[in-house]
Amino acid sequence: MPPAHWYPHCNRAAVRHLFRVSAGLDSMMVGEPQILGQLKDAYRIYCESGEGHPVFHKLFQIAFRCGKRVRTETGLGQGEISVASAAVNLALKIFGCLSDNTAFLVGAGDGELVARYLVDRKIRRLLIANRTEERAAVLAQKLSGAVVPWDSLHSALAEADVVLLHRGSTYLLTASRRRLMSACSGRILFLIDLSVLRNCDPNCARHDNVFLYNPDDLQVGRPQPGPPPRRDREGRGHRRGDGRRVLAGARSLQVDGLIAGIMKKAEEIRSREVEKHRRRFEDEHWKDLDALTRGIVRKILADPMTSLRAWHGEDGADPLRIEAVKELFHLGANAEGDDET
Amino acid sequence: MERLIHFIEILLPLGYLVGVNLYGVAFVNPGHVLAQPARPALEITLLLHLAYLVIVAAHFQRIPMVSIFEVLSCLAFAVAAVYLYLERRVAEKSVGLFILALAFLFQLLSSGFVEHPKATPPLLAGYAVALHVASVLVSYAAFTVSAVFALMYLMLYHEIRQHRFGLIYSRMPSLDVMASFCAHGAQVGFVFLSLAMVAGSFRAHAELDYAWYHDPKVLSVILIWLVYGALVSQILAGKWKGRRIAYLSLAGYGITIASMLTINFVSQFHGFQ
Repeated sequence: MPPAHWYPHCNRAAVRHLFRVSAGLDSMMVGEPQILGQLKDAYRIYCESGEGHPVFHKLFQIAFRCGKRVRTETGLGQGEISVASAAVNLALKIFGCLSDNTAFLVGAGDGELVARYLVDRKIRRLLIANRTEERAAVLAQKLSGAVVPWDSLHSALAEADVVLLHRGSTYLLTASRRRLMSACSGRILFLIDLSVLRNCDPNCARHDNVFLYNPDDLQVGRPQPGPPPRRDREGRGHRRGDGRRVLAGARSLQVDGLIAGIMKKAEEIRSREVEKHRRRFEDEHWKDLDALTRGIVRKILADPMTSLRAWHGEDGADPLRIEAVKELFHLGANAEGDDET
Repeated sequence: MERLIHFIEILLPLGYLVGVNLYGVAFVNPGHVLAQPARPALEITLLLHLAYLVIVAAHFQRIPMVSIFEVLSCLAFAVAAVYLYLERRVAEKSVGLFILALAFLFQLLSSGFVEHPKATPPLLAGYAVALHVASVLVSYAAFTVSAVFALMYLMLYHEIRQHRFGLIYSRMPSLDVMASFCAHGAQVGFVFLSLAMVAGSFRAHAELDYAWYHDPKVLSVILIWLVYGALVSQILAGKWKGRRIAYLSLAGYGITIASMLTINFVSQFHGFQ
């Protein structure tokens, strides 16, 4: 994905975003289960990179649990929630049995899942066209379909009952709307425009026998506008509760890291300073001096450490205060627990 | 015996009303406990209706289709029986509400206004008339089924076009199934209507000594035949699909019912009395 499409989130916003994604509330189809699998894949790649951090491990585990909990304890996971299954169910509602119908996949990109669902529902024939014919051939082999050359789109369109449009299909439906209309005269055509930037001219839907849908139209599980329904409030409640716990846990880890960092820095300073005067003391006195200075440092730091440990409470570890302490002790990015969540 | 006939005439609309309600429950919530007895209730009502027709025929010594309201009762029976056959065949309960609502309406009108003429009009004697009456009954029942499926097709069609996925979307069979039933109903009805017209013409030609083909009933039936003829020809040619077929089926059925309820009263020989 190009960096232009990235967007940053920090602290609470990052946790909220992760939980929204895991619960499927940020998906094109609300409650979509596939997103949880994709999130697990992303987490697996992150773990394999060897960059794992305790905060992230904990955060992702709780996000996965939260995603499952939102789906099992609210109505969000019920009904037709996946774009692919909703599209195929709609095709079944229109055509009844698909064993007499032909599907035409234009663009071998994101449409594989829908095409696979159609094949599972025993669609009679699957035609695939792609600008790069090799990709179409690979997909056709995988799904037992037939490849259509890119310059024969219109003849394939005349045979198709279900047309799945993806990126790069624009040519098909802007240049040849009239041909599309003539292709479906006397029969029903179900057009699914699955790309984010719409390929299909909305005027196509004016034709009596054309059913034009895009992923937004297929959102059976999306709550209606107005006051949020109970299930969404519940989902949000689960996310908030879990999110607070994760944030509190993450900050506890940050505070632990802060304490460890301060103690480490103080010990480094003490041992460095004491080492400077090593020659001036006999061995027996040296041990006493070492113990004495350790005790002094521990006592000096006792009160600040007690205060820091008190921040373990849910709302106590304010990020600003943590930052202030880091600055005070000149603890840079090396201090444990310093990562942004 | 006539008191029994009147008693059954009161029971029949109630029986169909119970059926409509139970099938309504089955439509809204197929898993509901009240959805289960819907078919047994319909079967009992149909048995009662059959008994009623047999009693009327036996008591008056004639076919139970002499007056328009007797015809309506026979039509209610035929429509409900066709529905029961369809339900057993395709295991689809969602259309029951709509078809039985019509059967209930027909029976309610019949029970409310029916009179049983004691004498059989001479025109209604003979095998040609029996064939005519039976064919009309089958054709009207088939047109009713076609119209109900056409109506349901349009309801689901508009739901899908407007991207709404409510109760109608979740409960109704697919557009293809409904279009198929709508088309088959129209085709069967057209064939039997043609047969009824031939048998009726044969009988009228033999019995009537005036220009019976100028009768409003005859003209209205010719109009119905033309509408359904156009519909069937388009279906067979494969030129029209879906919505247009549904609209034409509903138009044909509207003319059929209007003709049955109004023109019969001004017809010279379809008043039967």
